[in-house]
Amino acid sequence: MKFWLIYIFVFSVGLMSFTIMVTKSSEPEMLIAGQWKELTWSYEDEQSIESSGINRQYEGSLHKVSNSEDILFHQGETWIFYPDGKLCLKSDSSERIVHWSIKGRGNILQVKYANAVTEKFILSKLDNNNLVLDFESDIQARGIANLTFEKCK
Amino acid sequence: MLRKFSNSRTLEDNIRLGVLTAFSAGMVNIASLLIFFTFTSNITGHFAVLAAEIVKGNWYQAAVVFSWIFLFFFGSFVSNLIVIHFNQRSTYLAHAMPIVLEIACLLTVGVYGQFFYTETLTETELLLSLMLFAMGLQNGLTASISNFTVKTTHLTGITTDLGILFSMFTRKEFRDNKELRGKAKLLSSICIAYITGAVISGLTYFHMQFKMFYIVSLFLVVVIFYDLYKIRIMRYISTSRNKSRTARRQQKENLAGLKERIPASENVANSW
Repeated sequence: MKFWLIYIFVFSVGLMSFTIMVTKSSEPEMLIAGQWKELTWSYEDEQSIESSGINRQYEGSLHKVSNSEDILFHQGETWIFYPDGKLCLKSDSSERIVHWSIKGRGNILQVKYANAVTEKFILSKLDNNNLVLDFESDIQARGIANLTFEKCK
Repeated sequence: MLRKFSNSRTLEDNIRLGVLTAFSAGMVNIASLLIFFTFTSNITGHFAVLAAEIVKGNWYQAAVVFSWIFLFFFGSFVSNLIVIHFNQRSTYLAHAMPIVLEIACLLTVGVYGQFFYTETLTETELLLSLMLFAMGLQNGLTASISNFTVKTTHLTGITTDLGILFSMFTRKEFRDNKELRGKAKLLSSICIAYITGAVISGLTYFHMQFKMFYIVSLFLVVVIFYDLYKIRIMRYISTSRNKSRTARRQQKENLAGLKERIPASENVANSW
């Protein structure tokens, strides 16, 4: 009998820890929903971009960087995350609707474009006011670009 | 593969079980990495991530990773619980039940992913949880029935053991040791099967997506039916042997009966 009590106690402690952690936190999908204004867009190291074979292009107000997989970067945009999985990328001159989802343990933002291009960002910071995304591409190019957003009130 | 328990298992039994389950684990791990960006067959990294998320104060992520670790543990717990409690009734059934559960989990992931998945975080976490539970079941079963010799969902321990074994093989006395050579053969087979499964999964992912889980399930079905087939054959052989033995015994008895009668009839003839 004592033996079973120990088992029940250990499992209950585990379940309680899980419940406390979940109730103490906010779900990333709820936190990210809303309008975010891009503040900075920075390269970690200019040289690492050259060595990673990424080609830079400029397209209107959007700062676009593409590698062999046609992965895109953005600059000067407002990102509006809708709860139904739609993401509106707004700049002064253009607007486009793409699809967003959060994967992994709630630490990866995936953005899918209509032309089957997929971008992957690590959610390195996400709270009620700030969002920091690290671009994740090939291993050699990982973490070279970093986007900082502020929530529009 | 599944009929024998612990020390009664041969090297070939362990290699067959190890290769098929490692291949499945390699496929599942890469599928989960490509679809959900998370490893599901190994949890060493998850322990480090859990610590990092706690330090950062990311309680949602910490809770998710904690639940994954727990589910892997719980899978192994359930697997061995089934083995030790049902082993006396039927060894085969006790060993096959965790694999049946694993197939059910992986098929659920495959079917849900193919037809219902809308890429919400809750769905992602639940599907990953099922996969981690399934891998826990598999690892618990293979380790349990092979006396902790076969572990097929991660390669940390195996790589360590192989390193130790290959260093031992630099001395002739160890090279000549049949048991050590067998162990190296088993561990190498598991490594190769895992990598093969992972590579095939990576190559076919873009075409198959969630359908990959059907193939993994198929491999596990082979694990189950291989033994069922063998059991049937052995039963058939033993039944036919018993039948022929009984027939031979009857023949002998009939002959003995005849011999007993013949001298009796000879006596009757002599008396005439």
